Order: sequence, then C-alpha cells, then structure tokens
Amino acid sequence: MISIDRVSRPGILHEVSFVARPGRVTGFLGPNGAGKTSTVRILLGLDRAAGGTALINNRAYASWPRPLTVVGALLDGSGAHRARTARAHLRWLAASNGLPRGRVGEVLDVVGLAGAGGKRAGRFSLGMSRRLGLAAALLGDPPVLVLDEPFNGLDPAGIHWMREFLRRCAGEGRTVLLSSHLLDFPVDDVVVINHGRVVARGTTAEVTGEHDSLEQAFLSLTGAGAGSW
Amino acid sequence: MTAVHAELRKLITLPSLRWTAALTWAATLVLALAVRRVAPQEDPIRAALRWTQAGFLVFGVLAATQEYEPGGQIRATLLAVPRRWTLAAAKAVALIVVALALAAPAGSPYLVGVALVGAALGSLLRSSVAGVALGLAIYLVASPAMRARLPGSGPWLPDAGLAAEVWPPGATLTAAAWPLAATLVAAVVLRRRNA
Amino acid sequence: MRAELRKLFGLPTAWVGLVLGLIAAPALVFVNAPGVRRAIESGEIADLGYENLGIGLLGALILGVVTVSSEYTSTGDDSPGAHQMTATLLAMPRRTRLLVAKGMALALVVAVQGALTASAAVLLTEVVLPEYAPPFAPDRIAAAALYWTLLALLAYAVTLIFRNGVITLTVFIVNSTVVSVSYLLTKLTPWAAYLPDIVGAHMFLRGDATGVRIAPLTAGLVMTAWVAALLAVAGYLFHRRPA
Repeated sequence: MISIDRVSRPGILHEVSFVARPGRVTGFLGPNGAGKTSTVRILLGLDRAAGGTALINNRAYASWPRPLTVVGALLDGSGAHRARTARAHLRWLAASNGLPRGRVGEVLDVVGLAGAGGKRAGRFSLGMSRRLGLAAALLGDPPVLVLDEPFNGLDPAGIHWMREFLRRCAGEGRTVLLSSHLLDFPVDDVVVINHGRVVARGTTAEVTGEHDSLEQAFLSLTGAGAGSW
Repeated sequence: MTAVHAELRKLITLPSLRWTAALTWAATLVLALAVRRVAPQEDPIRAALRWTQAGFLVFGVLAATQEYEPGGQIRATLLAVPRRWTLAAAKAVALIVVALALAAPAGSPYLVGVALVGAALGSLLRSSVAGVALGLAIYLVASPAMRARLPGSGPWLPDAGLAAEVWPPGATLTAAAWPLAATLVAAVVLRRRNA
Repeated sequence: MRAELRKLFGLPTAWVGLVLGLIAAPALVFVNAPGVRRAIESGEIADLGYENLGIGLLGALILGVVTVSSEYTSTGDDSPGAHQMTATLLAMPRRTRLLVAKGMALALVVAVQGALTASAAVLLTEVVLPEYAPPFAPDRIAAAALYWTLLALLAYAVTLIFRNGVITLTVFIVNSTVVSVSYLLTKLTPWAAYLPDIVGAHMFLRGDATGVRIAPLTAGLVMTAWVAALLAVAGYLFHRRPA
C-alpha cells in the first residue's frame, strides 16, 4: 500500500494525494513534465518534499531497515555501472540488504537474462538494461513495485512481456504503481496528474466516465486536445 | 554491516579500480628502482610514493565517482541504503579497508588518508576529471609549492604525513585532520543533496 | 571551428582550467617574491618570472583534456552508449576535419591564455622585483605561449588515444611536480631530456636545471615533433574506432 498525502514541492508539486492498493495496478498518468517522476523520487527518498508525507506500508521509504524487501523500484537507467557485469551488480545490491546470493540467479532467470549475467552492463541494449533494472527491483521479492516509465525503450515484444509481468505481480497481491505518459496498458486504478496537481483519481471506469475511452478522458483532463501533439 | 559489505563488493568488482591499483604499484616499483640508482641514501619506496601517491588519490576519486557515471548507480545505491549517514559511513569504512590493504607494502597509513580525500573530492564534484585535477593540484602542486616558499607551513599541509619519517603527535593530527574534514564535508553534502 | 569554441566555453571545467591558468602563475610571483629575493643572491636570475609559468600549465592541461573527455561523457542514462561524441559526429561526419577544428579551437584559446599569463607574470616580476627582472622580451613570451599550446595539444592527443581524461591528467600533473619524473629519468639517461616536458621548457627557460643544454629552436622542433607524432596516432585511432 502506497499513500501519498499532500506532497508539495515549490513550483513542481501542489498537494499531491493518492493511494495505490495491494493486488491492483495503479496507473500514475500525466504528460511529460507533469510531476510524475518528482513524486516517485520523493516516495523513494531520493528527493525531499517541502511538505506532506509519502509512505509505503505506513512508513517512509528511508526508515525501512531493508528497503529492497519492501519496495522494488525501476527508474530510468539500469542503475548498474557500465564496467560491472550484471551479476556483480546484483550481488552488491543483494549484499546491501542481506539477501541470499541465490536470489541473483533467480531474478536473472525471471527477467530473461539468465545467459547474460557475465556480460558488462555497458554492453546491454536498451531493452536488456530495463530488464536488469527490473531484476534489481525484484531481488528482495518486495510486496510493492514502483515503476517509472517502464515501457520506455522497450521493443514490442518487451512491452508485451512487461505487461504480462506486471499483471502477474498484481495477481500475486502486490501493489503496483506505474507512472507513464502512455495509456495502452490496462490498469485497475488511475491517478491523473497535470502541472503538478492531481486532476482525477479513481478506478479506470470512474475516471473514464462519460468519455469513450481512458485516452479521451486523459486528453480532456490534461487539456491536450487532438492536434496539439 | 551489510552496507559495508556491499560497498566493499563495489570497490572490488570495478575494473578501473583494479587497474589503478596495479598501475600505482607498478609505477612505484619502477620509480623506486630509478631512485635507488640516483639517490641511494633515500628510502626508494617512500621517495617513489612522492609521485605515486597520485594513484591513491585517483583510486579514491574513482571509488566515489563510479556512482555518478552513466547508468545512474547512485540511484540504485540510495534505494538499497536510503539512510545517507549510514551510506557515507559504509563507504568510508570500505575504502579504508581496501586502501589499507593497498598501502600495506609501503607501511604508510598516510596513503589511506589520500584515498579518503580523493573520495571526498569525487563525491563533491561528481566528476572524475575534475576530482583528479583538483586533488592532484592540491597534493602534488600546491602543497610542495607552499612547503618550498613558506617552510613554516610544512606540518599543516595535507601531504605532511608523507614526509614524516617518525610520527610526532602534530603530524599525526594533521595527517588525520585533512581526510576527516574532507570526508565529513562530503557526507554532509551527500545527505543534503537530492540525488 | 566556431561550434567547437562554443562547446569549449560551455563547459564548467574548461572555465576552471582557464581561470587557473590565468591566475596561478602571476599569483605565484607574489607568493614567491620573498623566496626569490633570497635565491637571487645565488645568481640564477635569467629565468625570473618565467619559472613560475610551469604552474599555469595546469590550466592549459585541463583545457586540453576536457576538450576530449567532455565528448565521451554519457549524455543520458536511458541510452547507455550515447555520448556527446555521437551527436558531434552526426553534425560533423568528417572526422579529420572535426579533429582539426577541435585542435584549432583549443590551440587558439590556450595561446591567448598563455600569452596573457606569461606577459602578466613577467610584468609583475618587474613590479615586484624591479632591480632583478629580466628585460621584457616578446620573443620569450611567444615561446612560452607556444610551449603552453603544444602541451595542451599533447594532452589533447593523449586523451584522444586513451579516451580517458583521468590517465592524461595523472600522468601530466605527476610529471609537472617540483621534481618531475622526467627529470629523475635524465639522471638515468641524458636522452630523457628530450621527453616533451623537459625539452619544451628549454624553449623559454635559459637556466639549465637539468644539466643538459638544448637550444630553444631545437627544443621547439623536438617538442613539435612529439605533438605531431601523438596527434597523428590519435587521429589514426579516432578515424578507425567506432564513435
């Protein structure tokens, strides 16, 4: 369970509030620059908020003693140094949270990088980098997943794989928060953010409302009419 | 403890750090041979380290700037160890352990301090080129120049520990104060800064 | 070429190099003054003012390094292989011309910087120590500026070869310390006096600290040969390697 309560940052976020519940995929949608990444970074303790609270299972991220066992996060980049092998990267991460070494092989299997563990991260394609980032997020088998633009840089097969994967995670009862500017992903709940303010939140059906589709609702909520692309 | 373990793994598995360590000792040995032919009355290793302490500085800088290189490792690091004091302490301890092992043949704890100052500069500047340039300018250019012009400043300079054959309390204090101050400043900045 | 100049001036580290190069040597003249007065009694006065120029070289060095290393710093986390060099090569696909443009931009900046610094250091020496300063000699200033330029180009070439600014900086700075490694090597073999840093210094220093005397013209030619050779290697590698 993720609860964001009146989180503010001058000029970027204005009293952003929403929750993401277990067993559901929550889409955190908004145009580029709306404040999605900023909210996610505050939630993960990377940036500081000027006001408000962002909690994961009722505690701030930084106060969890072994955060990787609570939250798995996928941000831009793989998080791995170019010169290190995928396996060496995951091993230090596992060591940092006292996770068993065996998890490294397991998560490499899950994301389909079983054969690439000995390869340096700098030699990975964009899609492989995203998978490595996801492997790192899964190391601690966390009940909460936070993914910032997970489809960026994936080819069609990768996008399909990621969709199936996130579906499965929610099916296992995990909380999945997915920030994206794309709308072609079936989500259970939706939070729409624009210019740093939450402009709509609810189930997909509630937010879609009278509109033909979620996409139509999104475009009218964010004031981006057809042709403005 | 787990954070220290992770930081140690990071230091040990990075190729550029292995290269730095190997080249530092190779250069030290070559220069020591040269010194022995030119100035047999000097301790060759100690004399060679006047130059090759640069390797320890580079080691420290690269150990810190690996976080800020492409790939965004700093985010993975902060997600795994979000408490920044803990992270800063773990990083310092891991670097001290590795630098002690590297400096052991020279028997000079001063070199560990050089590596720590390098790490602080790297962490503050987040750029290996800038960190190395500033660090080497301090240790190899500014300090010897100051010593030559104003001999009285000698015991207070960051590189005082290198020259000290025996360690009077004053020299020990100076040798420890520079790395300690640099590490503290870097830790405070790491804590306050958005990643 | 204009684009390269603009890129160079857009880099924060380049400004550090510029300022360091401009200020350090004249500042040293002041710091040095008391010590120098003592040294004067021992008779070595031919190089007053000039010998402080060594430290300003750091600035030239940094400029030479960042000209290249900035290109190989990744521009975005999302694309592991992308660095500015990729964009630069797309804008200027003819690599040799690109190298020449970069080298010329660098040479121009450093030459101006070197001339200004050398003049400032020598003039300041005249102010601080009027009775001992060597006469203002434009040809020696020019030689010093040329030496700076050549050294910056040398750093540029070496950085291109290794594609790593840290290696260049370490080697050059370690070697520019009070007692340089090359100087140590001259004690082993007199040929070491022809290493670029020592031979280059003979272009504008008249004293013979190394014990080997090389005429300024010879020194300039040897130094130029070093730079040309390393630039050629760098150009060859740059041409062959994928961006």
